[in-house]
Amino acid sequence: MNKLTAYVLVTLLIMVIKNLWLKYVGESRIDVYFSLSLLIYLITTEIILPFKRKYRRTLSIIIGILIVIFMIIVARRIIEILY
Amino acid sequence: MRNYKLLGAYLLILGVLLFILGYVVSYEVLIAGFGISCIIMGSSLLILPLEEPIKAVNRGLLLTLEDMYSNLECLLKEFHMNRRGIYTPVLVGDYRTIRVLLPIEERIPKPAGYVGGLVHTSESSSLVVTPPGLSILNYLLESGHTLTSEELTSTAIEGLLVPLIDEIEICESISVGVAGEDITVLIKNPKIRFERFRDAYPRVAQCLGSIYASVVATLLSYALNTRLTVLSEDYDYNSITITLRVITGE
Repeated sequence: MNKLTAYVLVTLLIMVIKNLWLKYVGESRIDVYFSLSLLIYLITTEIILPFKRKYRRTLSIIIGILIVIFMIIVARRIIEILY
Repeated sequence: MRNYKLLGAYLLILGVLLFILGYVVSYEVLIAGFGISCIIMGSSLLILPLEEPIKAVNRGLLLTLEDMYSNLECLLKEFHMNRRGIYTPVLVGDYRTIRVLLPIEERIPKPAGYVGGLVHTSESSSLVVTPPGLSILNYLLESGHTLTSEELTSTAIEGLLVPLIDEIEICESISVGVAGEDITVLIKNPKIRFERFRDAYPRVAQCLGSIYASVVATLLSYALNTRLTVLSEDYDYNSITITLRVITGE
């Protein structure tokens, strides 16, 4: 099994376990599912994905988009708390 | 690598459907969560610039080959060489092999027990080099191919060049025409194009021919047990026409 296959399998497996665990603990906010998916994605990408600069450069586009979505979620939560 | 792209597309579509089903239709966050996971992984796989490992290796080898050509160009320039090389069968010990004789003077060098380097005889001087393509010839011989032919016919020569398609996969097909002493080899859809080499290293192209010409000339010189020179090469959109001339007599 090469590193890329391991990366896909491990990331998907951890995400499935995370989703089931969140459901088990009764979590119903979609923001939490998204945030933890992003966290898992960042960690596995950093640890497992083969270190090739061109991979990192390309994935930084997706990571950037995901972080923008995450920031919007956080901003919405802050606004909800404040008002 | 194509499989990863297909998996990425599958995950992305599945993710979008799950997200819509979970978040918009039924508001089941677990399904929407799976959808988010699939979208993230699917889009990552789709966007990753994956390429077949062999392509990357080929690119590296090609660049290294270019450096070798650069060296050879310098060497030929040093000797002021621009005459066409002669692919010649030679005996090295008990083995028959091929060398290219690059004439330093006008006179065509006679075949002798050349191995390599500068060779001066009473009649001529030449630089003897190993042709690009000799290792392919050796590989084919070691693989059990019988590369000998008594006939100088297009069918026989096409048969000799078949291993270049089957074993080495340099192109999709090869056709041959014979007219007197001239052999015309048409290489259709070559896998790698070397035109850049021809432009960057004109002396090498002039003396040895392109890599394809050199490979073909080496094989045919060995198989026909005769001296050959590359007369001309024409590059078309998806084919290369190589004309070789059999050198007979002294």
